[in-house]
Amino acid sequence: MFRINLKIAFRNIWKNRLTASIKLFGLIAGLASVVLLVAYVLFELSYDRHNLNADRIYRLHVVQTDGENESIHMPSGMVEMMKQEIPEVEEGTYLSIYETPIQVDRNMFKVKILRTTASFFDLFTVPLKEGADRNTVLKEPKEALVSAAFAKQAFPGQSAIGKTISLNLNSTPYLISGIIGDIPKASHFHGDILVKSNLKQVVNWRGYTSAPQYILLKKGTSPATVLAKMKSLYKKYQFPEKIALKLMPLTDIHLHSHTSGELEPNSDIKYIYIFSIVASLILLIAVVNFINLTVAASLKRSKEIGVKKVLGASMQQLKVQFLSESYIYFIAATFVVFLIIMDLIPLLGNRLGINITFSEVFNLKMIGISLTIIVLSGFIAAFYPAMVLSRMMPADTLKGYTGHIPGKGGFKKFLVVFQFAISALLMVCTMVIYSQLKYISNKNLGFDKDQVLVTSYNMLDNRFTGFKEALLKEKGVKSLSISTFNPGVSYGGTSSWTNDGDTTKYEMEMVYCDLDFMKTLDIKVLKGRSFSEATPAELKAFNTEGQGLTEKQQRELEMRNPILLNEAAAKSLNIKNVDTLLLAGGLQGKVIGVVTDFNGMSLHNKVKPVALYLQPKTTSGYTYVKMETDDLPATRKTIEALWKKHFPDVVTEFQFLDQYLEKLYVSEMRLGSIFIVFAGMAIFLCCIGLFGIVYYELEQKTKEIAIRKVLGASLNDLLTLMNKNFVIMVLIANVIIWPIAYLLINKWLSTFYYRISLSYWPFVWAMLICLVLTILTVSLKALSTIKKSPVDTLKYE
Amino acid sequence: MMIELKNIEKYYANKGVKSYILRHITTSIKQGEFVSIMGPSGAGKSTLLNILGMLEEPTYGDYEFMGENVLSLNERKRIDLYRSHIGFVFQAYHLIDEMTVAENIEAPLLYKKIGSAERKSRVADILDRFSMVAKRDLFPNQLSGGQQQLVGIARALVAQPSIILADEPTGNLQSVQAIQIMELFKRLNEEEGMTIIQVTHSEINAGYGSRILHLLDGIIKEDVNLK
Repeated sequence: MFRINLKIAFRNIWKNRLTASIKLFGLIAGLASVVLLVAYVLFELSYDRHNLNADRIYRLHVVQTDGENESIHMPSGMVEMMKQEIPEVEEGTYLSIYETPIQVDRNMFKVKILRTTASFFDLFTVPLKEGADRNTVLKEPKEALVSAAFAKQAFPGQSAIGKTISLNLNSTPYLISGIIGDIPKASHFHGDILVKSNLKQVVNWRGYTSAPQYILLKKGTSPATVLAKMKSLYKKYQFPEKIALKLMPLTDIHLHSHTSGELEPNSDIKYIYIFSIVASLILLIAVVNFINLTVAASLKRSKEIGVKKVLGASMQQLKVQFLSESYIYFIAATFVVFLIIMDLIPLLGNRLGINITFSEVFNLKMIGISLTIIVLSGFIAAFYPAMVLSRMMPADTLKGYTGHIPGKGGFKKFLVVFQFAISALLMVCTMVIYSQLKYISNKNLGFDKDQVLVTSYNMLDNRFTGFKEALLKEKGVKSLSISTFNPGVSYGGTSSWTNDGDTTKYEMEMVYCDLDFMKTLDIKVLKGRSFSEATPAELKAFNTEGQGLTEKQQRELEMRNPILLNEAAAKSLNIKNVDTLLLAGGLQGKVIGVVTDFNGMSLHNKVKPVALYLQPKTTSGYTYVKMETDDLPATRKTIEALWKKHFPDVVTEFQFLDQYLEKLYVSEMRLGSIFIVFAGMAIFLCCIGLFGIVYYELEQKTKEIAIRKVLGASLNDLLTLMNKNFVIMVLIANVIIWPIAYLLINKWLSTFYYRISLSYWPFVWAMLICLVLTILTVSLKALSTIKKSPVDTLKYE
Repeated sequence: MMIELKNIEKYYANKGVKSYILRHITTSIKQGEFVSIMGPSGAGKSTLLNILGMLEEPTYGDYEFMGENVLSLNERKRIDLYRSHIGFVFQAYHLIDEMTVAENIEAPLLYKKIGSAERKSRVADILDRFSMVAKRDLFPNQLSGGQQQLVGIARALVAQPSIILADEPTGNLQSVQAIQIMELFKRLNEEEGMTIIQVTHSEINAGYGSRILHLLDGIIKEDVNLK
């Protein structure tokens, strides 16, 4: 019985090759998308779980008890203090990580240096592969552990142990004492070179470290116990008022922590939810497609069903037959999906800007979850048609195509509407996300980010003047400046104060820059003068070297140092006229002008008040080079060559400012990438499904069409007839999702302070795309039937 | 008594108006009879045959098949009863297009859960008896109408039913082929004592049988015994 059913199933598939392949293809596309998203979501959820003690490790955060500010910046030594005071704290360490280019044997490597303590290995599961002894590791100040990957790159074909590397110029090189295993991709920090840190271990609230601190709790200790004990220590260690400690579980960092000082850009649990929902929607579409196509195909098989019933087949037996037929598709699709997924995962990773390979996401859990999803959806997709088909009455079905279509009524329409609703929703979201991303990249930030190169932070010396002169002589280089402004990260410094007799708290971002900063970044001066137009008197404080001024005289001069404010700062300080002296907290000098609110940080937030301080002789900071050329790559090469010539000992990295700023929106761009792929997938699946439905509907309507033709219907009349119902369904689908899409997308947009205003265009476009594709699909298929001669069609009836 | 019908009614209610197909059908059919149901289009012949064949249920009335009250049986028991006693033959043959001749004939045995060896021998037997061995691996669309109907009858017979129900079995056939089929029915009835009920338009076909039920507007107008 099973064999003959299988045989018939295959004969049936072969006979209806076209629709069978549509069905299979849709299923493969749908399931592949789902498995892909499952793999990605599991990857994101697996962050830091490779650490054996993951459930006992917490990162220290400080929170404002009366505000929302949360930070991982706090005094160093917190971990040591907790270890001493709270017995439940077993171990602790901190990570100070920075990325820098280093030179090994004339080869340049961009590496991440991880400064930490020996307890690092008590907390984090990083295997020591070669050399170093677990008990003595990271005890020596000039000892370095390197990752296996780096060792292989830097010292190909030889052992790295015993070699030396220098991490800073002019300092003693480090001796490589061991090789560590590579830290998995799904870790919230990475490092190529581990060295001992020399951070002071005293809690002192006058200085903060940006190195996050971690503690390992003893087994069975709840974080609440530790926090409770901490409360009594706040006073002893002079915690500022309204500041409390918070313990962030290690495994929550990647998805739940959004402080400004994260070691690497984190993802957001919000996106995990969104991707899971998208995956479910795609799965639903694929399942619905399958149901639609199977039920539609049953029209052709009503006779077979009737005959089988007459021959004595029970409902149960027919159900089994149809279930097994559906499972043939699911089994075939599953095989194909797992074959192609190996190539799809790196592709997806590529789109998302994360470098993941198949082996990194391929594990039993992923296979298990994927297979469970496939089997369950397979059951649903197979069960409904089997139920509908086996219920058909033999006496009805044996009369032939009498117009008895199982599921013709509400349910089938509902499924089509449902599919298009999902597609339209995804399309609207995609379009809005992309318009917002486009808005971000086109927004006038108040400074010119095009054709600008920016270096990493360097502490240079007086060779800078020579470099600057040489560079400005180059064709294509327009201007050059050095400043503390690190776009998207920090302006350089922050100053906050309260004036006497005034309870308002002022907060001001400070940029320290040279004379050409405005010119290089093309920041407009709205009122007053720019730094380059400062009078010699205003610049006097910078030229006093060797003039034997007393400290007091020097201070007096400095109080006349020129300052520029942005509009927000001028407003917040209520400064209406330029050339006024300012004596407010950390802000002391002479305001010589007001510049536009240039937007140097993420557009998620409103522009802050910024003050620009002139430091004409500074040689530390980020160097900006403004180019004006048709050949950017060549000019960039020239600039890099000049840098090497002038600073052979200082490695730096030149990046284009516009690309540098784009990194601020990594997760939004990921969202966009995912949406565009899967919205495309959804609409594609919808069209496939529609094609199948129309295919069978036409087969059923062949006679009707022939009769109408005989009665004089034109091609247009018939196309309208065929399209009408589908067009109505698509319109309904679109209208239904409008409020949902509006709410969702508004919620997303509201995370940006600077955002597009939501227009009706995405909604209109989504509807038009749906309509055009529907009409195309239906008409293409319908034309062939309509063109048939009515004589042939009616002859057989 | 093989079949007992008491006061069978069938109607469709549409917006409160009942349209009757069958009214007050009361009759009985004995083992070994060859009954022809005749009447004009729309008289309810096929519906009556479908009810006899348990493919449709009457709206009202009693139906006893070999002493069992068919209408009170549950689905499973009815299918059992049906499988072991009833063979159906259609005007349009209704062979399964995706199955070969042999597979079509084998199908009812599969549903009866008969073992593979016996299935093979029964199918071989019947193919032999109908001289269709050479056609066993052909698909229905490779056969002529008469041959398809022969397969249809072979399929009805293979499960060794006690009764054959035939709905205009020769309606789609040319007269020579029609005569062959009717001769076959007659032989089955006389030599093997097979009970046969056929729906037909043709007086000639009805002449092969032993009894004629004349139906008009859902009512038995006449019950003629030919013997």
